[in-house]
Amino acid sequence: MSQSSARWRGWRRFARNKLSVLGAVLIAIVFFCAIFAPYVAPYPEHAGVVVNFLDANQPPSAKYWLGTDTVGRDVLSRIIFGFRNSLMLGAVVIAISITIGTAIGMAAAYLGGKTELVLMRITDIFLAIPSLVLAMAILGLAKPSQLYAMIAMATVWWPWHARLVYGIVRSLKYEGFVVAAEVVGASPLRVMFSELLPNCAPNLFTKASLDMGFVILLGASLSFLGMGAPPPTPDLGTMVSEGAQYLPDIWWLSVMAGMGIFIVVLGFNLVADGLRDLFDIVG
Amino acid sequence: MSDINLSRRQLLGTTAAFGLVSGFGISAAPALAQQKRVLRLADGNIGQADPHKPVDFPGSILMFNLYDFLVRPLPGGELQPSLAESWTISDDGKTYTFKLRDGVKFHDGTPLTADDVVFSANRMITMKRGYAYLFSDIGKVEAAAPNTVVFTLKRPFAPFLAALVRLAVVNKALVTANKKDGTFGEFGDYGEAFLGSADAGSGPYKIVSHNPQVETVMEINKDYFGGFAENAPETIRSKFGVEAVAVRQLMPRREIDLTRLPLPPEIVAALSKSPGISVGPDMKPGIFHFKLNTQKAPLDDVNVRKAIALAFDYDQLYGLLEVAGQKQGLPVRGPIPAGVIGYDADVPLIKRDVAAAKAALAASKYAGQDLSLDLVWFKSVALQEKFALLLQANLAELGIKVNINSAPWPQIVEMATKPESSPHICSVATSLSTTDVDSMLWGEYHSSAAGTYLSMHWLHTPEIDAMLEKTRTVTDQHEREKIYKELAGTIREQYPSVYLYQPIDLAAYQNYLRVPGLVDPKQSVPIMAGNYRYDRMSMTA
Repeated sequence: MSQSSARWRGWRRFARNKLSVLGAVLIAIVFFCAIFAPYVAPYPEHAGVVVNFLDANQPPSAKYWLGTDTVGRDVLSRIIFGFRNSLMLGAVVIAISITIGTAIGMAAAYLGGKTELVLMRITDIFLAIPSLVLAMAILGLAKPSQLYAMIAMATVWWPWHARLVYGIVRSLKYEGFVVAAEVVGASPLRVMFSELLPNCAPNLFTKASLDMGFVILLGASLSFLGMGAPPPTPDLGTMVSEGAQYLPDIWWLSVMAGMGIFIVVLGFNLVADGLRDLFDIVG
Repeated sequence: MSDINLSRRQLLGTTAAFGLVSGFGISAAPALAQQKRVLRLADGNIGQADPHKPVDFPGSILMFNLYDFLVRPLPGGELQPSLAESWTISDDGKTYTFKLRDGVKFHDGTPLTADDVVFSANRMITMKRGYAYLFSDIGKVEAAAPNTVVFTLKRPFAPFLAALVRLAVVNKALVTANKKDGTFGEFGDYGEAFLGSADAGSGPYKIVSHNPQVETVMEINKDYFGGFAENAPETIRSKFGVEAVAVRQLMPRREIDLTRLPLPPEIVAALSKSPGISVGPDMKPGIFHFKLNTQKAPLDDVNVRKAIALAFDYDQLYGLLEVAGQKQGLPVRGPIPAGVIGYDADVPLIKRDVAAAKAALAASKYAGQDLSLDLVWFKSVALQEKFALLLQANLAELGIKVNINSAPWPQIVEMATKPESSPHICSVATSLSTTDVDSMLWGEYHSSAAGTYLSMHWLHTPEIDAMLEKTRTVTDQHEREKIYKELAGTIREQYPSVYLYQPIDLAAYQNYLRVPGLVDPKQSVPIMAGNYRYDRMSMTA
């Protein structure tokens, strides 16, 4: 069985679900826009320090495809640059959460005893507080900025990964390959990283892809509440919140930015579905 | 919002029931005529009922309608005898003797006497809340006779009469009967808990119910000695915490009659297009600033401040202020707004001049450095963010980076307490709290009043202090005017603010409601909430 045919079978399994392919396409577009934003956006300067009051509040037209905001900036350009922000936020938060969550979950499950008790109770405490409330509380202590938003969201997100890894490792730690590694004298660190971690990877990938959408949504909620990136940085949540003040007359601000969030979140969710099929994860 | 909905449904319900019972069938028109005239105000903030505590707009509206005062402001800013029938001022300017009007009764029927005035003045001075600072120069207040009050001042204080438009007279007997334990000795809590939700006034309206976060309901006080405009509203329901977007939805459905909150231009434009709704200017002297913190580097160099003031694009700003044929502001010429003493129409308007701004920056001790400034704007007023973005774009041309943040009001108040915590730039509106310009400038520029949002520029010099003190002792109006003009010049040269414009609040109202001050500039009372006296309004069916 060659590598390429295994890949092909994987892709077939993923593509069985047409919606997953749609999700992958959406995400590919979003990533493309985010990476090449300065070339894709019709008015890249509108993402920066600029005011253009003469063209304020224009409905969607040939000149401004998705209309302009109250300052006269092109909504499409700002959404495209907003993708950058959202993806960056999602990626960083998930990366931090996975790192912390995996370390804690694995240590708790593998080492057991008091370590398990302490680590998992701490995890439970974090899980007990609604994530938006906790993130707002953390952000309330600091100035609103992208960095603090990331820190706050990673703080509320890692316990989910800790729980996931904890569950998997608990079910794996008495499996033959783990016991075999222990018998030949592998250190606990080695067992955890070389034997157990690769077995958690499929679940983590799927969860990360699913979470990406939710993290971006949480980030948008935070910036909707005024805790997002400071102006003039384009931020989808902030755009929705600003536009909400002018509904229904200037509907395109909220609706278009909301569609932007919708596309990203939908894309990641559909891909997560496909990944689950691919890795054959049940439940 | 559900309450407004409900009230309307209730109203329709009772109307229909009345129609059926009295045999009018489904025709509700005769029943409507029996209905009380109800005015529903949408206020963007919360309202405090205690007349000696708030310094804000909703509190002032309640104060002016529930209570009465020795003098009240007239259109144009003149003072009108109200509870005081007449007064005399001693030659040294330190003793004011007021003769009270006969036969004035509080809402509970108790006659209003000199004792009540003395009690009210003492309550304000002792509690040190709200506008108490206007009365800090009072030495003592005495009731010389049941209808005579004598104020003795520590030193001559020219703006004293004007300050009295803020001395609400409360019912001493009622407040004393309802006092609770507190920190004011024999006066307990000075009735603070009681007056938070009830009224003890003699004004044209009385409280039916009051919840500072939600709604105040008031009924007309038919016995008010001052009389009412024809068809004045009989019941007032003022809803608090209403947002502009809700006004946009509810006003065309006739669920709000009058607004008192900042309306973004986009919403003004939408409302103006709705049939049956008009938008009118609520004119009162004040200034909208970008306060520049003169004690924080690099703004401690006057040249940097000058550069900022010269770089700002005033013409773009004026363009933003025009909406649906209405102006939301007028150009200003420094720290004193038009319409009050000390305003100098001969001072040229400041214009954007990028070359001069660059020159000023080059002359500063920070020339050639990368400058980065923090700007904070008040979160509830969306228009302010546009000014902030405009300044950000303008200063980018000078190579100055501006970091924009918004903050809720309590946070701004907290920032204002110290020069270190005040941001480089803060957008702030200041206005007169009485009809005298002293009530605005003292709080902004006298060193003794530092630490409030008014003085976030932190520019305090002995020279400015001395001028402000002098104007308080001079009673000759021409002399005062001269000093104020000179003072304005002194302040202007220091560039403590980017003086943006003189704001005009726009209020939306249903056409069946007549609010004199919003329709006719000549009838506008130039003080915060001066145009929100319900007894002067009238409603037609």
